Amino acid sequence: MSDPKKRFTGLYDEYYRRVLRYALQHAGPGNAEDIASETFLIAWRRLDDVPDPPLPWLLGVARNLLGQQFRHARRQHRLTHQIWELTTDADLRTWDAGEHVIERAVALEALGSLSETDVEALTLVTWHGLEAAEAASVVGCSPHAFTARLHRARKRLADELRLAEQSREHLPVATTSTPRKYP
Amino acid sequence: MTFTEDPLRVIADLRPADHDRLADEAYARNRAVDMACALGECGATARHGGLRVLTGTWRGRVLASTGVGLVAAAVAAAVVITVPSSHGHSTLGTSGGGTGTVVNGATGSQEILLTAARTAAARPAATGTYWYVKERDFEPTSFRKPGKAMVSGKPAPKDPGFGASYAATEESWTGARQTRTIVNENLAFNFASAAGKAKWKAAGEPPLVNPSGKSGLTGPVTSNYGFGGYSYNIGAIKVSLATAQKLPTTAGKLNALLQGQWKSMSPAQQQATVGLNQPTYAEYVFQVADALLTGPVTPGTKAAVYGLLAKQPGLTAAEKVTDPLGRVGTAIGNGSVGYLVINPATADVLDLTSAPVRPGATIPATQFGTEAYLSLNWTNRLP
Repeated sequence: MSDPKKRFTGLYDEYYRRVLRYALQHAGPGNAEDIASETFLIAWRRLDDVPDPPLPWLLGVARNLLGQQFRHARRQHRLTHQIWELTTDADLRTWDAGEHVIERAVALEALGSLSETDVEALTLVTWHGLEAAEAASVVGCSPHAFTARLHRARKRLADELRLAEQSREHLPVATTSTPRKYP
Repeated sequence: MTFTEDPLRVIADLRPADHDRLADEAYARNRAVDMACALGECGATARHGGLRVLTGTWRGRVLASTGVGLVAAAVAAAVVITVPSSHGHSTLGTSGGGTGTVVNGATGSQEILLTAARTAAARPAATGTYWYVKERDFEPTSFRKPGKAMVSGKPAPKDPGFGASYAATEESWTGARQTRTIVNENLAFNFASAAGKAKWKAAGEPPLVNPSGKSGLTGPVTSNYGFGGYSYNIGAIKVSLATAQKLPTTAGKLNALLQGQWKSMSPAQQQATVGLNQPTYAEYVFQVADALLTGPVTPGTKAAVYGLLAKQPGLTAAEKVTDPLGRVGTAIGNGSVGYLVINPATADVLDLTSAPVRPGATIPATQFGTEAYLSLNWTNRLP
């Protein structure tokens, strides 16, 4: 096997599952598989452009593909949707083992209240194990900007978790958001 | 109580274990085909005869980068080169209205479709750098209970009689090397009746959101994509922007292409592609027609689409149907696949809707989803 083929095979074997897991955040299993496969087709065609480490580059490609495919907002499968659909007993056991203060459903509700941008920043670091500089290259911003984005996202989630916990305990609810009503 | 949750640990523990299982299974299932396609051996082992089948369930246009080169040759073998028509916002709309007629059965709807085929074939051809689509989308609206966050994926609270709907405009410019999308423009919420609005006010005016949880606080979102080789997924067939203009221009050749694709799919794939249980070939053709008639295809291909639809059983036509934008057209379809509303004078698509239509009636902006096309044309510039 030639070196390019060998390198591509190695890329696929090592990273396909990680790319698919990223795609699963935004798409149902069938579409996620399409996205992962497309990502590696592009990687093969642009093999010389694939840097080391390759994961941020691959996730960046997958992210662009997802952005194109799911431009219709109502057709988006948001992360919370995916989590609801895929929750199993194993997830409940993981949650219990984590000895969390709040219930998993409440945490999920808090997560669902965040913007896609916040969720993306948080999951790139926690789920996909990227450093800030790597995650920045995935979303196309500077490492400094990503660090700030992550900090804000983390704070907003902490606020939401606190709000959810207070609400659950029927304590007075404090919120900093200004309610808007439509129309 | 002191709150002690670490947000990052919460996120980490919310990751579904099933992601790992799905990833392992997909890796085992797809590796051979993906490797073969990437390394240029796709012809022997690719799924479904070299034409990739979408497993998603949503119909119509899907932008995606590809695989284009792999399928282009397969499609190009059956094509005649022409260039597509150009028409702008003003030409899509019609006026008039009044009492319409329903045209049941093969003969009546056939006549309308064959007339549309002749009209489409006579339209002028054009081309450009970007295929530009502007549409106004209408959907029923969810709402959030006061003080509660909405969880996407969790069933929205049942409409307590508000009858609210949202409308938003989307635009896209699809080029061979660059694409731009703008979504969530002019997001507006409306009520079907004053009584519904009064009920909403009495309930404390809970925030209204669209199905993805966005409220009017979210403004337009612009995305730019720098990849080359974009393609349209047309039904289950993935073709490049250029190849879309080389699709068959006769109903017979288009039918042969789609028949081959249809027969290559397993029942599960057919179901996933069409988004219906045990779909028929006619339903598949209708889905593909949606995409082709709103896509960057030639007048000849549009004519072929109408000609092929004329041969499909089970379609009904209803005349003088008014869409949510007040435009009047002829609706073709049925309760299973939804309806295409076309301007009979130009054979342009005005709307795709899941609303049941009646002749002479107005498609409601509430209860059902409708995509109203404001523009489907070529342009040479990005704004």
